[in-house]
Amino acid sequence: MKKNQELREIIKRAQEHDIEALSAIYEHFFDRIYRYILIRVRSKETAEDIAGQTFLNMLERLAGFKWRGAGFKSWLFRIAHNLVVDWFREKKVTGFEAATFRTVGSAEDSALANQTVNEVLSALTSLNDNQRHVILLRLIGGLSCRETAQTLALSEANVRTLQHRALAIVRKELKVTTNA
Amino acid sequence: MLDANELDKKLDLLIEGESLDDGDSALSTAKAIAELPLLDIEGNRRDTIKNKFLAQAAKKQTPRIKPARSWRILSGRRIAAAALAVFMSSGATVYAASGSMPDSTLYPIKRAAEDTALFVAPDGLKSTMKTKLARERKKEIRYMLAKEKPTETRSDIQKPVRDALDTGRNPGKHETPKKKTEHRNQIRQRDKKDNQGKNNKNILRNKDRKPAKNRGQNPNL
Repeated sequence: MKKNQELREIIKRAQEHDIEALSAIYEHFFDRIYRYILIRVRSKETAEDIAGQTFLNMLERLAGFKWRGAGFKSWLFRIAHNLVVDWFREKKVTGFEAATFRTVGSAEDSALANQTVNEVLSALTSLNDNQRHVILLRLIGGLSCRETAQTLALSEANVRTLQHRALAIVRKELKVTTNA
Repeated sequence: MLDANELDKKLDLLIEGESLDDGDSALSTAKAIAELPLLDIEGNRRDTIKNKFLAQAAKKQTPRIKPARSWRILSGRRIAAAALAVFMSSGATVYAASGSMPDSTLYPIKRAAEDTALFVAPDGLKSTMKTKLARERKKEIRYMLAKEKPTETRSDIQKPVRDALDTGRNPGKHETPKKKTEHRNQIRQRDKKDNQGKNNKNILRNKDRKPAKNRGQNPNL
């Protein structure tokens, strides 16, 4: 499904309620969507719920999807992004910083891996919302610069600037943490 | 450090899974984030969510019954276009029929339009319209007489004409009682004058006339 044309054909079939095509879409996108949600909400159960709801919402709106500028991937990530925003609003959590920090890893994970995860997540809290959204969509969601711009309704130049600056901030934060 | 555009290109390669040298600090930071050892979802949970999703999709899979062809023909824009065509053509036909005469094929349309107009007209305008229609009938009669053709004998044609003729013969018919009385008085006075005139004339005539007994006799004799 890497090729755009192949993806278009699968989506066309999915729009006609082809179960195989819908299954292929799920298999292709689920892990990326789940990881993106997980890193934002920091809770496995919540991430599972929101990821599942993302695909159900996709199913509801798929008939109305048209290839107008925004690709399917950015359209799907926008659904996930909006659900996360709604979740934060519902929980009356103001943003990334205030989210409860539940363990992302399990007891079997190495202490080093957990430490790395926590350090990176901590460094990400120093970014503003746009910078963080760009970094997570690009590096965790695997979206291109154009897709990220479409998901967040920003210009591509803006996305490039935001990711450049964000990486500089995270690098600085990580250095500080390592030195400390 | 890479500039924003170069970094963007390198990030695309990183996302696609290419191994990049960690020489650049921004790129190595990006790699650390992209390769975060986040726990993947457990297999059974993933399958449960997938099954729920596909079950929902299967519910929606029920084929939609397409409307019959005849209904599809009459749907949307086509209905609007047909209605517009009928409206425009009927308006044009009525307009064309407005000047038609009893020998024309459009004449019944003209009459129907007139009846409708009369029916929907407010009460205050009805008498004016009736007069107008009577004039129209008169015009038609003249036209038909000129063509030496018999006019239609339909009662609905004759009645307005008869009304109009009555109106012409007796203008006081549709007037108010006060005007009616005045009109009657005028007629009486006129008749009186006429009678007086006639009487005077008779007197004068009788004066000039010789008595019947002398008639035919020579006065000199």
